[in-house]
Amino acid sequence: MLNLLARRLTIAVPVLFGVTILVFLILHLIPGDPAQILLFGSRPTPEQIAHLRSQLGLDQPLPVQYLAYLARLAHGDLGQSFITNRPVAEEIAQRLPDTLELTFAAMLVAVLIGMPVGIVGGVRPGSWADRVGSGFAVLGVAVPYFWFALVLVLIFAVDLHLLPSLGEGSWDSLILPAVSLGWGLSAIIARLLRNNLVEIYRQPYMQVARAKGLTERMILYRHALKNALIPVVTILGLQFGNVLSGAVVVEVIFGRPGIGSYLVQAIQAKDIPAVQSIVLLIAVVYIVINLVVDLAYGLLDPRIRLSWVRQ
Amino acid sequence: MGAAMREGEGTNAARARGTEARPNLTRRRFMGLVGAAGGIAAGGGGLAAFLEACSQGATSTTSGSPQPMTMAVFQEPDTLDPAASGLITVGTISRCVFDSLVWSLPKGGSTAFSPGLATSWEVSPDATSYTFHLRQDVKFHDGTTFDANAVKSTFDHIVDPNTKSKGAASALGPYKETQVVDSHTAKVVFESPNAAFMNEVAGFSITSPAALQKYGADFAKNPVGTGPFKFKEYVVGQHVTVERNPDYSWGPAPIRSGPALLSEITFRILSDAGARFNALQTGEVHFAPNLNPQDVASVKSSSQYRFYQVASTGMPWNIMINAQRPPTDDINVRKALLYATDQQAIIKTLYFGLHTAADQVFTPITPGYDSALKGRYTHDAVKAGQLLDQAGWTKGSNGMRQKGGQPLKLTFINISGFGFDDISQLLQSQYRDAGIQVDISDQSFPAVGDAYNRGDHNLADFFYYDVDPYFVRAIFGADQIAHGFNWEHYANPQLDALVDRANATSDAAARTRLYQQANSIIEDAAVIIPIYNSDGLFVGSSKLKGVQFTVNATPLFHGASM
Repeated sequence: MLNLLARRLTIAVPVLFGVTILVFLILHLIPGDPAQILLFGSRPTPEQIAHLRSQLGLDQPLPVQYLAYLARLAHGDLGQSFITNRPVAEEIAQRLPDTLELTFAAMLVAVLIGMPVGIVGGVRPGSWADRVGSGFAVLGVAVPYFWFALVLVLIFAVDLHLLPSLGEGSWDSLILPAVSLGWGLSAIIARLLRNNLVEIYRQPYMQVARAKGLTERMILYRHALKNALIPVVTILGLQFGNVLSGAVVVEVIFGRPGIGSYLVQAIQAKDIPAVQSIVLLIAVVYIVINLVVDLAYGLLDPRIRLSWVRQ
Repeated sequence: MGAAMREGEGTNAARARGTEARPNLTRRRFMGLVGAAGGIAAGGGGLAAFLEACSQGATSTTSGSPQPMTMAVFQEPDTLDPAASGLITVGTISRCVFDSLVWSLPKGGSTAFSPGLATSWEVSPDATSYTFHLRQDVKFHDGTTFDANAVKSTFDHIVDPNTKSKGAASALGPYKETQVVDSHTAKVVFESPNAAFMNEVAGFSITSPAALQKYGADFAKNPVGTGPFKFKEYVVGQHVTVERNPDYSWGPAPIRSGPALLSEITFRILSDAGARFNALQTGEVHFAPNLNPQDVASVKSSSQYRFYQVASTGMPWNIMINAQRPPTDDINVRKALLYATDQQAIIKTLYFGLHTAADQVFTPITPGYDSALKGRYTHDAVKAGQLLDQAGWTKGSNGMRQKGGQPLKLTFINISGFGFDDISQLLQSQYRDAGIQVDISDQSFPAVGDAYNRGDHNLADFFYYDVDPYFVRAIFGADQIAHGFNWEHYANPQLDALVDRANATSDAAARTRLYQQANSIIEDAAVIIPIYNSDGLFVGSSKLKGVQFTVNATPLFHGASM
């Protein structure tokens, strides 16, 4: 296990460095001199421009600037917002809990809808319940979540007045954002689980289980589901990053605070340190989640654990 | 739309050269209306005045206990210190928390001053010093007394480099000092004539000196003023809330001098126009700016909503024509472009008719607007054709014009995502009908400023809002070419002298006449194509009554009630 962790980390670390280089270069990829762009329209004197350039370290060679950037990152210093002059780390810390809340709520919705639909279809393929479930899954994958979010708001908030259109404060304000963000993933889970179950029920060991006289319920829980869930866990992990980035749009639609709406604002305001930090954060989350998923495999599937040992 | 905007303090040229010009053109003012009127803006002073008259009547009959109200705003505040902020949203909040010395309010299609924290004032004839006689019964929210020291402290704080003012400092102009004549008389002195200050002073929020000292840089999160509402809380990413100041009795007489009729106002931060409209429909917010034109059109005549069209001072949304780069260095070509522009088609197609067509460098309520200039360049394809023929650009077999084998081709550098994308495309097709080929190059802001300063374009996007017409100095001044905002690359010493003279004339009527002359010169030069007036546009619940506006379309909730 430790061995694997070490091996996975040796891959993750270079990826992380690659990300920091890209994020660092954002500042330099903008056309024009960043210092002049920042001071545009502010009647800057040449001294002010020079001062800002040295403040941003722009007068140093690029590799030196990059190393300085890494050193600041290592100290948890994500820079200062160009707009509010507050530390970006503080700004993100204030908003991250809201985004995590939404992301986990969406994952929960995905599991709560996707699992039952997938199981019903997988256990009784071809039944009417399976057909309804498959239809739902196709829709879920095909309909973009931002459109779905707008439709949900129109129906449940604007027309029926059942739920608030804004996602802030009370618990019920989390429902619409979580459903719109989680529904696409629930469709993926349902499809995957159904197909896996159908496949597994055809396996000889299922006949053995039945021959042993196990109840259908036992067969499902002990043998079928356990095997069928492995790819589902993978997908859940891999989709975590997608759900997190989907939160960017959903937060804006529901006017929710969070790093998603913060990113949109920062891009519009050209608040470069904020954009850099959020992009870096999302990349880090992707990397960490992939790592965790890899490790979780082993815990679920002894064959994979064995293959680690052999390697 | 509606980016959080940083604002500068003018243009490079003035400070670098130490000139007296006070080009107060700033990024916020230039960009602010992307948010303020970004999608839409419509109406005119007449209708706004009518609506206000109606709401005025409604207010006076309102009874019952004060209710809370929620307004959607489209930006996260950068700071709540009005001296430092560059955002239109913070300007709206500041109008609740703070008072100004003088109020400038729309009146009969024009503007008028009303006493605020100053009961009366005198201006020196050369417009270099302003003496304000102050009210003696005013208290800040922290309990301290308002006096001449507060005026001095406010202006000194604005020009303090540590404040990093993104708007107020440039609006203040060539500030020298504030003299405390006695405890309730303050004299604001300028290095050079600054007639614009009379209009600008209505925009400065008087801040509590005690709070400035107590909080230091944290004043940004703890604004303390004398306004009808006290600051209550700011939850990052969510809202700013202000609550009623029960002791308030010094409000502007034309609106309401007594305490506010709302118990609390929550400014809910909603960056998405669709989210603002949804929340308005569900009743979660009661007042919203910058909605999508199609949404506004859908509720415009509904009895559940009240639609506000508010005229604003400033420069309309317009296209600047480069007077130095061929072929637009030829005045006949420039005039032909003006005649070839069909504003009504643009307004109807893109904005559901919610805008009014602009006809000159000033919007109708800006001092210097001249109704005599109206209709001078009304859409006329025949005239456009004649002018181009005169200039030697004749129509070829393909319908496009050419001279000596060269096609008539213009470069339109458009600021992408700035509210001009659709306009530039419609103009491209309108000009094609006139035989003019237009190549559009979309560039991003603010990098596009370099291209504009170099003069790579024939056509550029522009709009600007300000309460005083002196902004034309920064946009048309010969010394603003290549460094400032003179993106028409138009130099006319006579115009500059005229505007400088206007800004040294304290007599309002004489000043307005000078600006009308300047306006006429700009019109003759045909260097801008006015498109539509940058009015403020809001939709509110019909339950919300008594909302009024400043001359630059900032809402005032002094007399608002639910």
